[in-house]
Amino acid sequence: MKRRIVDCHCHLGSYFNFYVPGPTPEDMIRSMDNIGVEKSCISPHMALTSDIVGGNAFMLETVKKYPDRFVGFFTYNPHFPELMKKEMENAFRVSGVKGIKIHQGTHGTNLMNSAYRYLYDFANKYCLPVLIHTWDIQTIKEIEALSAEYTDAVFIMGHFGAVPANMKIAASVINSRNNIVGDTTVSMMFEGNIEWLTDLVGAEKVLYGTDMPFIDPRVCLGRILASDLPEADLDRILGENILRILKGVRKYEI
Amino acid sequence: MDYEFFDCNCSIGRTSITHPGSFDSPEVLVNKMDQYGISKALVYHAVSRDHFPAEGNPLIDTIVRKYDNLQPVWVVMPHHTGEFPNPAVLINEMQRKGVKAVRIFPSPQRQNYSLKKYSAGSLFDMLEADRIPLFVDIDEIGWDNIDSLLSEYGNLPVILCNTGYRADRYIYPLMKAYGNLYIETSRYLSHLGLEALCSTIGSDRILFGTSMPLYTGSGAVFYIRNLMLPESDRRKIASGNLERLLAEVRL
Ligand SMILES: [Zn+2]
Repeated sequence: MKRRIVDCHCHLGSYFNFYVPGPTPEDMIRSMDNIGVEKSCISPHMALTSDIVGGNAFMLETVKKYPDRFVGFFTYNPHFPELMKKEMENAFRVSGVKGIKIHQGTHGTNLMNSAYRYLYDFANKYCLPVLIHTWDIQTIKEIEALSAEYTDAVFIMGHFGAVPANMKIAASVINSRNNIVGDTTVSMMFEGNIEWLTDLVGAEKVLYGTDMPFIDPRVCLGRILASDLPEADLDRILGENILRILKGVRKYEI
Repeated sequence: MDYEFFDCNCSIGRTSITHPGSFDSPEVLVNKMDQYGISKALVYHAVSRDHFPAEGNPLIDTIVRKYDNLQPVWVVMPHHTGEFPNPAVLINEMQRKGVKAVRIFPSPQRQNYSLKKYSAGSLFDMLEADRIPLFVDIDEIGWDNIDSLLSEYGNLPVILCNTGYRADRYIYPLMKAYGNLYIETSRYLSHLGLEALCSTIGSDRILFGTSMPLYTGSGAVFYIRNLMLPESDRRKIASGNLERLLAEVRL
């Protein structure tokens, strides 16, 4: 059977801090076709750093236009709780929207912000993946607490803690739960890192993610494909894990 | 047709901080190179960077004698304190040891000296006269210093390494302004960035590098192999441009 490659952590669009040469859905599809990636999970940059409504609208438009290539992750900004309820309800009517993205860093808060509770309940009810920017120990500890409370939601530690010292702590938390996984998204792609992470938590809990088009996906895919891991583990990391999580999402009912 | 990979950004030797899964011995490096399809590498010693160039450079000489696919890079610095050879002595030593490329670590966190004429002028004059490629990480030099260096030494090939993916708003104007600026690929990670850069400034000044053993070597190779560029461009980036630079050295 052909290996399926699905990128669990992508964004979309231009960015304030640097030039993005390939920002559009079409640029991303060109990249994906070039290296054999079937689908990417997206949350636009605009939703992270600027206009939450405009950003989520770009996600919806893209998912509707290319339903076979993109999976929508609704970005939740806790500064607008009432607006988010309404926007989420609309967004999840679209069948290609299957996850939630939290960037507590760019939104200037932490995961314990009470305004996030609505989304945690929602994710729990529909068994949704929640992709969280996981860079520091505080975030790892907060995910540890939340994952015990919301046991049907799936918490994706985006960036896996970012640096080896934090990755080690993230791994011990991941190992203590059935509903936490980590992704491979980092710009500092250390030699031997994929093998080490897989050794720590098992191939079922490592997900291929790249941050495209924030970062080019090729270096990350290359380091996974050339790793010393067995083919079955590569299948899991590159696609099976996120596909299993997405398959577990319950149908949204108003 | 396949093409060769020649890594321009590689180091070896023990460091004070280790990363799980990585390595520090030359034996492992050459095995990894073999596994990833990298046929040659320019290598400096970690001791030259983290401790003292005059003690690290002889260590790399010893290592490269054992492996014919490794070529030495010396870390150099100004000589005024007497702790490092003056340019005339240095150039003779380099010639004797077959060293055709150098690297600097001038930042306050590392070897901590000025790049201005009063400090590094005679060193750069010597390197420029012999067209010896100078490698430097962007974090070691900063954008404004690189601008001064490129304008003052117009015949000195400068290879900017580990630029990161947030650098294009600096890189584009600098590469347009200075024909002696080159970019190393390992951490130049903006999405479709190499394709875009090539379409603007061409492929002649882009050099393949890995940043091993710190960063992934296999990912660095896969990146270049899968560039959506003609094979002639990929070949130049993978090894052709570096071979050309080294052939132009007048030592
Ligand atoms: Zn991200």
